[in-house]
Amino acid sequence: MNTFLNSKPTQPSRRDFMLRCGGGAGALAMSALLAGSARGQNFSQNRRIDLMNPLAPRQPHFAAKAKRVLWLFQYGAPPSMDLFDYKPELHKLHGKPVPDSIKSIKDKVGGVFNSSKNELAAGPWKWAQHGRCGAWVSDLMPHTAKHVDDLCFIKSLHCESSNHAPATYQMNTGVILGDRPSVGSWLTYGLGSENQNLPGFVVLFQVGGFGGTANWSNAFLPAAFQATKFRHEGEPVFNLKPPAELAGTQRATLDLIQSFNKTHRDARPGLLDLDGRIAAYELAYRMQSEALDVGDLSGESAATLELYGVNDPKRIKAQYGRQCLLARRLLERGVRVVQVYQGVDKYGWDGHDNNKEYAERNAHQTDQATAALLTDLKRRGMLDDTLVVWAGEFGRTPMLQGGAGRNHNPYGFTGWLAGGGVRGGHSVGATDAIGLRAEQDPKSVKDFHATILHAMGLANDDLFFEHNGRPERLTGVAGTAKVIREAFA
Amino acid sequence: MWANEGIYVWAAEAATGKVLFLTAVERICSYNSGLFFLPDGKGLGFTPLIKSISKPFVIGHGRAEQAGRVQSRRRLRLRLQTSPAAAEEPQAGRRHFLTVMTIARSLQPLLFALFVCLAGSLRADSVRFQDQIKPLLDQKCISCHGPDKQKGGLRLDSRAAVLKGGEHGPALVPGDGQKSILLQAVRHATKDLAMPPKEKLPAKDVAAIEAWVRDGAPWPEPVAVLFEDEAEFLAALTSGNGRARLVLDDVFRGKAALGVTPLQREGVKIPGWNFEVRERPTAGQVRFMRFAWKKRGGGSVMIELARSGAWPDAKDPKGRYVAGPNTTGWAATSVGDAAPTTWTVVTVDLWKDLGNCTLTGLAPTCDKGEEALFDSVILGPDVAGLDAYAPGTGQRALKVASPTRALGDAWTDPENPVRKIWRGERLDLWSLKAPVRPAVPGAGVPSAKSAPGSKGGIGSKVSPLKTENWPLTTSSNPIDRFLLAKLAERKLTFSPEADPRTLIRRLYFDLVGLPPTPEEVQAFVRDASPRAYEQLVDKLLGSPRYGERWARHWLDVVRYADTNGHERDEFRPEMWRYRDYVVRSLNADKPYDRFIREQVAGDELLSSPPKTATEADALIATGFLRLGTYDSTASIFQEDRKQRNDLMADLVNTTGSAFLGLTFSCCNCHDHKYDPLTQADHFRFRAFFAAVKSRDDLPIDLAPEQDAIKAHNAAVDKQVAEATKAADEALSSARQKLRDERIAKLPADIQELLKTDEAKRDDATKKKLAPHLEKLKVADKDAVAALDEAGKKLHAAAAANVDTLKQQKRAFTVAMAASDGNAEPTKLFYQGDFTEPRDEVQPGFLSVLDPNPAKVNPPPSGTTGRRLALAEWIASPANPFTARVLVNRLWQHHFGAGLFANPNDLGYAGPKPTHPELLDWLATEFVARGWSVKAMHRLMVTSAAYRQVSGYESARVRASESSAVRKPSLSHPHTLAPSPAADPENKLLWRQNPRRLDAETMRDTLLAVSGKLRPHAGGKPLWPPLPDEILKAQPGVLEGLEGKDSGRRQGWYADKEDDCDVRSLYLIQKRCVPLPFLQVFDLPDTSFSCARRDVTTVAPQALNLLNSDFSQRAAKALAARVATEAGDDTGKQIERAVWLALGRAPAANERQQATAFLAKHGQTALSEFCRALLNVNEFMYVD
Repeated sequence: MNTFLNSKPTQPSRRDFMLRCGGGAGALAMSALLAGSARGQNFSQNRRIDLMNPLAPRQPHFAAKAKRVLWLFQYGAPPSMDLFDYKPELHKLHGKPVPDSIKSIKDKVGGVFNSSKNELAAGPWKWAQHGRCGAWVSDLMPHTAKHVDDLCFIKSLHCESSNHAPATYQMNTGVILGDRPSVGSWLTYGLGSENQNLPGFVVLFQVGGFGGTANWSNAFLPAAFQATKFRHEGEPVFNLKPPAELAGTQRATLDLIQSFNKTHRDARPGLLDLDGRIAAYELAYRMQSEALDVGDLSGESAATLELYGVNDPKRIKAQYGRQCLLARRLLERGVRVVQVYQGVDKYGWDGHDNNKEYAERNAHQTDQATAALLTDLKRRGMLDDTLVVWAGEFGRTPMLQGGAGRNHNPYGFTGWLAGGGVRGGHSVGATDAIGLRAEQDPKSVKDFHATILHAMGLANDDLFFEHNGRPERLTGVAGTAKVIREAFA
Repeated sequence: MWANEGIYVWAAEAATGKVLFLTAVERICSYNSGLFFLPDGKGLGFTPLIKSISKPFVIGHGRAEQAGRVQSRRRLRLRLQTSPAAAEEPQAGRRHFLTVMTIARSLQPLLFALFVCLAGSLRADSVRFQDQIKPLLDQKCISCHGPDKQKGGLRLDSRAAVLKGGEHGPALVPGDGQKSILLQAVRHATKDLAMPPKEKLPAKDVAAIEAWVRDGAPWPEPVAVLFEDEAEFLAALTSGNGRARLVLDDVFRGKAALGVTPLQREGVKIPGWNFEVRERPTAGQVRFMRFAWKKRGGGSVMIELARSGAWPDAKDPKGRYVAGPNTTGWAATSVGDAAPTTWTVVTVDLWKDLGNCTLTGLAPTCDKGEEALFDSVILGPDVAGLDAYAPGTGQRALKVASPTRALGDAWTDPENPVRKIWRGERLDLWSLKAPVRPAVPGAGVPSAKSAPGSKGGIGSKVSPLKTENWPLTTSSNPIDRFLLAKLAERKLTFSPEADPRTLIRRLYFDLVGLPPTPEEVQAFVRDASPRAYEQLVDKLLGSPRYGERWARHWLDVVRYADTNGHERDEFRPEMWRYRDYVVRSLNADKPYDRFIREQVAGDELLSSPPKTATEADALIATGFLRLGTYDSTASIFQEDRKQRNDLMADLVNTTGSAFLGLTFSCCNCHDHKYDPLTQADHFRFRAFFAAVKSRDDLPIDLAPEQDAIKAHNAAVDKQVAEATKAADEALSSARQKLRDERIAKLPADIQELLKTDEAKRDDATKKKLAPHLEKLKVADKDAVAALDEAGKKLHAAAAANVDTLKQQKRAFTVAMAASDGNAEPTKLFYQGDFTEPRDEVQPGFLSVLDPNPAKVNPPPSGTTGRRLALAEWIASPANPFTARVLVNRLWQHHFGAGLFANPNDLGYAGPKPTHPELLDWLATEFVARGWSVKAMHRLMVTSAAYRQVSGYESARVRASESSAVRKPSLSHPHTLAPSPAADPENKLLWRQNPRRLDAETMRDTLLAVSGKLRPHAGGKPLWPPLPDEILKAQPGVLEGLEGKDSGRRQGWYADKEDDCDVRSLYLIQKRCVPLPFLQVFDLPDTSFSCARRDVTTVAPQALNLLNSDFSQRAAKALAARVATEAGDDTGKQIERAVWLALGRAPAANERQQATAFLAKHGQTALSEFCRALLNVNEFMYVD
């Protein structure tokens, strides 16, 4: 390394204690090398992580509008053709079998035809054009419909499994196996976070996504980039505070701990972990008040609470509203990534036997708060630098399943983006006539991820982490992901 | 060789041209839109900048006089430059750099251009061959060494023939001028081998051939895709309405043509097809296609090309070439007006017609009428290449029979498939060579006190020390000898021995994962016996807790969990038997080679049900094969095949990582970019597992017990049969009555037919009766209803008897394990895609070592023997990886870092070992000691290196502060001071590395010091209660909790909280809901092998340890314990609490602070003080 860098060994310093997981001398050398060049950190290597402060903000690869991401995860899979993907042809073919031209196509992903009826069904909802852009939205989403001029619909998403857990894993981590870091972990690894008193990546849920914690896992990335669950009731973070009877002694206890720690550390100069842990206890203490502050909605105006539906008589709707409001408060304080699982129950949008019931329940309980978020972010000037993502693991079939349900559809579904430099009032891609398969400009989950990274100023091909001898990326080592450039203004 | 003729690369800033870096590399690989560099011989280098998958190519060795050939590919101009940085690297100073070429391409966002100094790009190579070498060979050599004559058995008309050579062996060795007979011949070096024999070639031609050989003898050839004499293409025609046949009597060239009738369609992806069409093709790419066709009568003839796995759009004429009257109205590009009635050769410029694309398939077609004949379809980079194409010399696109001769390893055989990764070079990866036992450094080592490692006769093998800086030491442990030798080179030596209190804590945490009690610490500190330390080591290695501690490390490596993962994440009720097996094996110091054989192929070691507990363990061990995640919902959507592919890949990856330290995951899809692993190797490995049969019900009872159970059950079955018969007879009269009634209601003709004997009924009768027979069956309940009261009673008693008897059946004890079934053929999947199967592969080891199929002998067990063959290979002392990987894992846990830093990666990308000789010595010692893991522990922890202090410079101060009565047993006069500056990362081990407790040890220690730890000896995992909110992370859990999981065990089955106060090893490991307390302290993901846990410091850890219920309970329990053991006296309480938590007496200032704290905080003060102690760094860190 020395001849390589022409550098001399020095005293250990904090900077020397970068995380180097498997990159070895090469990775270290390269990043050190590039630190000297004008924009060297753009290069394809592990990000430099300061172990003392792993969430310290890091420069993006290039300037970008979005500074934070909010992902409203539509788990259970919403029916695109009942919400945003208007298919007049489907209405004409209602009750008819799937045309042969569509049915005869062979799919690589599991057979949804085998477990669906050969009967097309259009939803019973009315469709209308909205906004200046004239986007079609069904009357299931009346509030969201008012924001279409800020939304960019990606109507040609497709994924690699027709099963919930693998597809949810893929939407969150890039692969269907559930063993990779989530998008939120990659983003906090890449960019750190703006607020050191709060976690950089937060998830909110009443019920999580299929497959559980692996969906917001840091996997092989350092634990600093794992998600923290924020609660919408009670203390905002688990174990945030000691039991009430100890609340008064908390500072004194902490002082005693730190006093022991300082003596211990002074006898061990140069062992920087110890400093890090001393700092972590102080951070924990600050987090206690900061997180409580985030969770305290008393400062929000009645109008705002009303906007989000926080006091709605429907309990689940109110809770979802509360989660959305918490999300805004977290983003406002500089949290890098917030993910809200919109699951109103353990099935989410998964309407296998009664699509109408599921679609209405989920839409009615989430539409208002989703729109409220857009309104609120916009009026606070935050929409410009917040990327809002609305998507689930896949969509649903235009064919019926069971009595009146819709089956899983990994072949073509809709998600939307808003804010953060996204081109509003715009659509990318299209499904076929019945809304089954992505036909025009198909976009893979990798493309979708590359696009989210791009909005945040990260080049997907350059965001690496060395693991078990392999340079891993969110969008895979094959380099097939393409940023959806049409989505940007 | 490369040192003088290598390629020299530097990076320069695009804006300024300033050279930032200069080194030599041996190889540059290009990806679709990027470059990456590989390390040079000293292990310096870059991490690859992989931009996309493509085939790496090798650039020849540069030479100054060739520099002028390099051409610019992009806008940055070429220039000559002598790097200013050259002088800074002594060797490089002698080199002369001439040409700079940019290969920036898609690196624009980086604003960083890479300048590559190389002499002769690939394009230059191909030009040189076509322009210079090919004409030379054609004019001067082919007449004697070609299709007509083969003097000396040698042909020089194809690369394969040249490499194969003749009587004198290979005519050339690519890249090696010295070994190439061809060069000796053209140089007229020796008389009998002077060629051409009559006139020596001009010097410039000889030089050209030399340069060509040195550059690896590139031989750009057109790619023939349809062969005149092969029937393979015919066999590949699998779809379409037409028929194809081989035509032998009317051919354009060769022996056969392909005759097709209308509408012939080949697959859109022909095996092996992936031809990139480019304007300027490089190696393996093409631009032109030439084909010969004719029509036997009227109409049109067409050839249709599939691109990227799809046929041309129905309306798009591109991709279809047609000749003759287009009667069928095909959208196609016409390449001839009349139907060719004689053989017609057509050449088309694919790039001009189609642009950049990838050809994947082809369909020869014709219209109605007579068949069309196709022959000699070839692809090539240029027309000249097509012109020069000689039949039979092209690269075959379709599968051809594999060579029958046995291949040699990559060291000796140029045809070994691994050579294509490195073109035969750079195979000296240290880890590929079996460890050779090095001599232990150090002369005059006192032999009176025999070294722990002296069993292998080390004392006699020590070589004289070559350095004058050898520090005096009394340690004869070879580990110390190796380490000190390296330290001496940097004028360093060991730090002093740590004090006894530190040592006992270190040993306890390292070996058993629990803290010593205050009494154990005190006894050890007081023990003045010279063998006190060794005795402690023996005691701990003999403790059952040792197996529990070290099982955890192994379970990380094999990604153990108790559930399936994915949507349902079902509980695996018997998986724990594998966990306990690992504990047992470690405690018994089972030889590691046996441990490997059992896990990979335990079932194949047995030929009958297990007769001993050891044999039963071999079956349980195969649980290893079941540890991956499993999605039970895959079959609902017909994703079984995909799942199987994932499982097999996972099994290969984990086996590679766990036992061999190799990364197989890359070569699931493609040849490894820089390690000598081919994609075929991944699938050869898969083939070993092809017969694995998952068993959730494998009986593990010992043979006599199994026999007893079987006999018992057979007897019960017999009784059941009798009782069933009795119950049935009780119904027979009623049944007959009902049947007769039903028959009476049937139509007369049917009644008549029913009278015929069942055996004599013809088909027509059977058909007619079938719908009625079903109705005549009398259900039991109907028959029962028809009985009278007495009959009902009788029947009820008989039925009850059946049920009672059935309950007497005994179940086998079962394990979640594996056995052997039929081996499905293993096929290589193109780009890892299971829908693209290619050639079948046979089980085989790494091609770099042995490219031939492995010898698989079915064992007496009657199984395929595949896994056994693999296990034997892994567990062989000759395997270069196995012993090294394991000793490195042990080393890592004892010293904080491995001798090679990434214990799961022994490849080029992994850092080289810091002490290669020590590593090899340990590996050979490990084998010599019968693969005894405990022997290696003992060797490591009794070394002076292990016993050093871990601090930077405070060592001596703290040593003297300690209350030690006993003096350190090893002493090192410090003529040389430890100095952080010389080795800041402590790679040379001039001190110990302090370590944070891992998640489980932290939790176990909390329980231990608070007195709550329950003794537990394994068995089913315990489920600590968790809040609903945490369980809701996984919807599948809710389904289980609500009882809507059809008994699949998806829920969370909480045990009593106190019952869960056992070692963390024994707690449930549910994949989708990890235990929060453990997870926050860097619990690894259970989806893949984890060799080295992260140690991160984040605030939620502090919150957990401060505030979680678990911590609170531990603090209270500790307070209660302190109150009981120390009484009411505050001073004694402080003393006891600190002793329990930290294993030492409180210091004066600590005593003071604690006293003040306790005085101030009233009732909760003591538990608060205990809570504080459980949070201090000293509690979490081991010095």
